[in-house]
Amino acid sequence: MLLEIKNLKVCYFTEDKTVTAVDGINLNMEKGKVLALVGETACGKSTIALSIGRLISPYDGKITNGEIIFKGKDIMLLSSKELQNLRGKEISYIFQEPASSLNPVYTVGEQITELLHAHTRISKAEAKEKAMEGLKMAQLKDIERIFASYPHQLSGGMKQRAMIAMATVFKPILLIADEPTTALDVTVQARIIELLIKLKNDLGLSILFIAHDLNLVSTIADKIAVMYQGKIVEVCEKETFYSNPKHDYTKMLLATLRDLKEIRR
Amino acid sequence: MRKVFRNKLALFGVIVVGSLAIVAIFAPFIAPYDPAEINIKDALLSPSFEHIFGTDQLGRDVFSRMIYGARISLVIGFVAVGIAVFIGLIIGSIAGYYGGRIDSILMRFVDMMLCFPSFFLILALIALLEPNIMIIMVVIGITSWMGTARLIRAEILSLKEREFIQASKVLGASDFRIIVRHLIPNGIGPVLVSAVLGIAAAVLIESSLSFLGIGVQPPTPSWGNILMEGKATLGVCWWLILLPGLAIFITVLGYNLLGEGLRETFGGRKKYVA
Repeated sequence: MLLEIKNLKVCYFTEDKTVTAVDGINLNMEKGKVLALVGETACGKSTIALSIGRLISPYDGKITNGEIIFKGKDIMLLSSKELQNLRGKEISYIFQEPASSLNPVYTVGEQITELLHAHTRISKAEAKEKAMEGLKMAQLKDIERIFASYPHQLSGGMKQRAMIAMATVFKPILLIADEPTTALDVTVQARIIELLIKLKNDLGLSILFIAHDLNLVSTIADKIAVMYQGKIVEVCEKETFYSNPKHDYTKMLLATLRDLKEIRR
Repeated sequence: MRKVFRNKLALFGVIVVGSLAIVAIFAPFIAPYDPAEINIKDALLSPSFEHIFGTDQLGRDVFSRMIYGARISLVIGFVAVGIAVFIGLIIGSIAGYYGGRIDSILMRFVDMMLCFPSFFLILALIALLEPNIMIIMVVIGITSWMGTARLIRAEILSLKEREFIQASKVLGASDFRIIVRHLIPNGIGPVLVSAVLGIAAAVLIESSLSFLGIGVQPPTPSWGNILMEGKATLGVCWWLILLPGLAIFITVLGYNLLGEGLRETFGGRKKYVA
């Protein structure tokens, strides 16, 4: 088992009260598989994603209970140095909004080489070579130009590919994709999903794919976990998910999907 | 940059600051006389072809002294502001990035520093220490970093919530890397503008200190101490007061206009604390 989350509970603090965003969930991920986490907005999907990298700011909230075991080690017990080595190298993230996930004052190349320098001692030429390799792996064309471009000079899809190149440049084991295609238009969405599937096969990447679009999820997921109000209500293989949903909330989700199809017709 | 040149007033600032820099760098080639050369029998000559800005009580050529004085004002302006920006960036970015109690403590310290009338603080510090150019630059620097600290803190407060900061954090960048490589380069614009305005303030402070006799010490010429020496013959020798006074005025105006021009070009935001 690559990742085991046991009885995880996360709270956020506001001025006068504490809100439980994730309420005692259990989740397992196998190596080389894609686990999709679906559910409505504010049900705690992103909180789980951030908890895995221990990225919840202590001013906002806290993991109050539970264990997150990644490759046999409990992430909750790691020092900040160990965490820094884990993030980016073994566990990587991509986010919803590629436009704001890239630093506007640096070129794409500078950002990838910067990341390489942050984690390893390599020469500038080696870093550039690795960055180019990463861009090529993300199936970008004209990589020389993209390497030297600032984020605002690229299209949304190119930016997300550059982001993916950045996230996979160290060949991580686990990629956490938090609604990676929501901000992109539909044709680009499909290309990005194809890319993620290819990376999964080529690098043996495991992906935690967070989304609320069930159509999209069906194309990439091996397993699907449904979240509702901070709890995981159902985990099942993709095949049984669509044909034989158990939980009421899952049935409702699928029903809305069918309703939408009706409307389109 | 082209926009800066299109703005007439900013262009004036660029020309003033640029020519000041050229004069300061090439002082030994431009000055017709040795600025320290005393020639008592030529004392207090009014401007003429030989001495275009006249001479002082000791018969030194005022034009040459003012050209060397430009060096002092340029160096003090840049170094003092450099020190102020450096301190301000460190304190402001730590306060903004870590927030919480650290922020409260650092910002209350800034408020405390701002409570002192800074000129008197500088006077007191310099009275305690020996007045020389190094000390003056350092003292001006450590009493004028608060504006920078507040600016960069405010920039970082909003920048740190942006996703690319989150993104570099999740990809394993350390706090130091995030601050130095990602936050400061994004928030430096307004700081640079306020720094240019800060140079004008530093030039004024140096002149005032020298005028009071606790700044740059004679015989080293500075515009402030040329003024001070001219005070004795005020009403008789107008050139000893008017010319250095004008030099200070035009220089400060030049920096201010340049700063304004930069602000209009880069910011669009209304007011910066100098």
